[in-house]
Amino acid sequence: MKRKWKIYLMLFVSLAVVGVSTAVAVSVANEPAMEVAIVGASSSKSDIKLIQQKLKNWGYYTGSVDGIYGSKTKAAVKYFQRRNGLTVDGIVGNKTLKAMGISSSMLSGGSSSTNSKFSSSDVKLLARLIYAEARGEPYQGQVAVGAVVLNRVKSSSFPNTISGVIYQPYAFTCVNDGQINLSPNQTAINAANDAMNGWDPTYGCLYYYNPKVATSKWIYSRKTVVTIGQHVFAL
Amino acid sequence: MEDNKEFYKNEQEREKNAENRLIRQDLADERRKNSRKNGKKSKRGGYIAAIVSLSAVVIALGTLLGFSLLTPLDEYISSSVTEQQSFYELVGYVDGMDTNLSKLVVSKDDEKRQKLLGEVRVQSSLASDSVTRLALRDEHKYYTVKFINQVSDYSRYLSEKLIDGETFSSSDIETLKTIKEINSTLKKNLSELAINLNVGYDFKGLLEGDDGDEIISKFKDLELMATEYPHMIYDGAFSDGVDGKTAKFLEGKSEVSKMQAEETFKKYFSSYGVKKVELIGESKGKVIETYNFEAVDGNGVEIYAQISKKGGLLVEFNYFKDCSEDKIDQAAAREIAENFLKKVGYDNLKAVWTTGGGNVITINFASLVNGVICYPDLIKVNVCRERGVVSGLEASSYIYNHHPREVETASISLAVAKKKVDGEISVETSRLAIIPIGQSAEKLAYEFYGKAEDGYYYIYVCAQTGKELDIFKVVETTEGVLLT
Repeated sequence: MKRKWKIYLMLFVSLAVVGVSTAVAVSVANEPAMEVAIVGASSSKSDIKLIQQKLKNWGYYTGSVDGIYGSKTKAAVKYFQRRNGLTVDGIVGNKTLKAMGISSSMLSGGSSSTNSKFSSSDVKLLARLIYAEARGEPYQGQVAVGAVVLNRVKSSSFPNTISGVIYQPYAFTCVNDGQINLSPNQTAINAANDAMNGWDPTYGCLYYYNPKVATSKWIYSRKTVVTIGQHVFAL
Repeated sequence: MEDNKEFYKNEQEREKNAENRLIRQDLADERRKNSRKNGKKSKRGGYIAAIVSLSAVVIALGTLLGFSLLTPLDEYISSSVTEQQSFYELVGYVDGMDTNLSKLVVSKDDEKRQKLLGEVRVQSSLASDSVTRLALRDEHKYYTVKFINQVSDYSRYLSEKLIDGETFSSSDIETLKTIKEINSTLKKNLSELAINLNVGYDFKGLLEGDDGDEIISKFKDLELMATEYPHMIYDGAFSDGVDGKTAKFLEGKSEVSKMQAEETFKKYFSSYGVKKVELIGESKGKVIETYNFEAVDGNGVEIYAQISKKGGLLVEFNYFKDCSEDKIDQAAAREIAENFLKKVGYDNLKAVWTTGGGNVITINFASLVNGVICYPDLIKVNVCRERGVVSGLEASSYIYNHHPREVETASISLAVAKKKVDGEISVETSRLAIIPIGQSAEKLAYEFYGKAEDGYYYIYVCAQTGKELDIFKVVETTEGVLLT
């Protein structure tokens, strides 16, 4: 009987450990860090095929996609370089790859980590906020939520950074309930990029609320500019 | 947005549910034990059941323990400490601002003034950071934050004035005096509050948004002081003059009716195969007012567009679909963008910058006057490379800034201006451009693009004085290129 209790005790301890570590792991799990692009040599057959395919899709190359860097491929690269304002040398270097939209991670010699869709940590954070706050909204409603964050950064009555605005107490429910840590989809990422590029369907609004659930009387005193989807946007 | 009280409530509920689950588990165990006592089922099966149920309890317990280690108690205590830190830092920074602002009012020496302005700017930035971290609602700190941010921005403005070789005007000194007075009152209130708090104050009240909380009620009082705050007009991002911005391109244009706007929408998007065009509302911005339309294309993808009431211009639109392929290249994308701009009535534009190396690229166009690029008049166009269509446009900068310009002649030659930057970058291209200065001014400048040791830069040199006006670094990312 004693031995059995020992087994139970061991089982208890080990499972408790598993439980605790699962909980910790769940709560601290992060998305992969942003990668730094390292462009490798593009001499392997598959890399050349990738370039040929792109050039063929865009009408620069008429030969076969065979992975051989022959005169036809070179001519196509030159044609591409000329049309895209690059140095016309027929060499697929860093800039030509970039103009073709090929990142190092797509090449066989490149790093294998996922190709980050973010150009900066701010866009990433903004995309997470948009996803957490407005993923059920129409696209322009998502852009509008991003624009409100950026309008707050520009306003004298709010923090002066994107992270400051997003993590300000009481500002966004999704920060308190942890939804801010969800991984955003491509729509939210595009909406964040558009907001960063100046799209603002709210014309400078600092607030938004869902009139069906908002309880603050004060919020109703702000001047309404536009309603998009479920949200009312106000100055 | 909204409450974080909700959060604690949910958290308690979650715990309660977990407890209930545990109780249910215990009851189940109890029942199994009883059935074992009564019945004569195989002993082995009983053990398995016991082990399985026990492990379930243990995992649940462990998980619960794990979560409770992280939330909410620890989090609660740590946020209470953060609150305390932010509050006392705020008191300290406002105190420091007070001393330096007093000295600024007294000092007559421009070098000393510049040092003091530097101090004020740092302290007010930090004060702004501290006050915005406090768990106060917007309506209880709106004007206090605004005041602190304006002091920071105004000291930047004065500091730049001194750097440019100017000195304080009498109105600058008057404004400084007013700011100093207000800041003294703020300091007095905060210091008193800090002293009174020492006896038995619990920051929990602040965290819980308790109306009777001493800090909250003090900040509510401070908001009432706002009527005494000066209306500050100067060249800065937080100037009250920013509110008076107008849309130059809309001046003199007549209003269009809803019907006319709808016709415009249909005309502009005729090639998109739009159906079900619907006026879904209006935007009543301070400066630009629009009619907002929604429609779908042949595949049911939504198009949302805003057309200005004045002049019937396409201010902004979105036609988003996740583009996963790049069927056209950048050069073709630019052509598509250029043709679209012509169709919607924006002409004399030149592509100046492209961002996004992915399947949607954003091309920035600026207006061109006598061969000079006018950067304030920007229109951004998104092109989806999968569909080969313009998937978005944003023209508000153009609408705010575009007006007939007389491009002045440069006082200094390109060669003289180039000498200025030759030591900094090896110049690859150069051209004349009009660039925005501060919030409302513009200047004619030579733009130089070239390479320095660690990358590419754009440098702008004033075409009249030869002074370096601005510098941008080109940052290449996996998504394309950015200007910083």
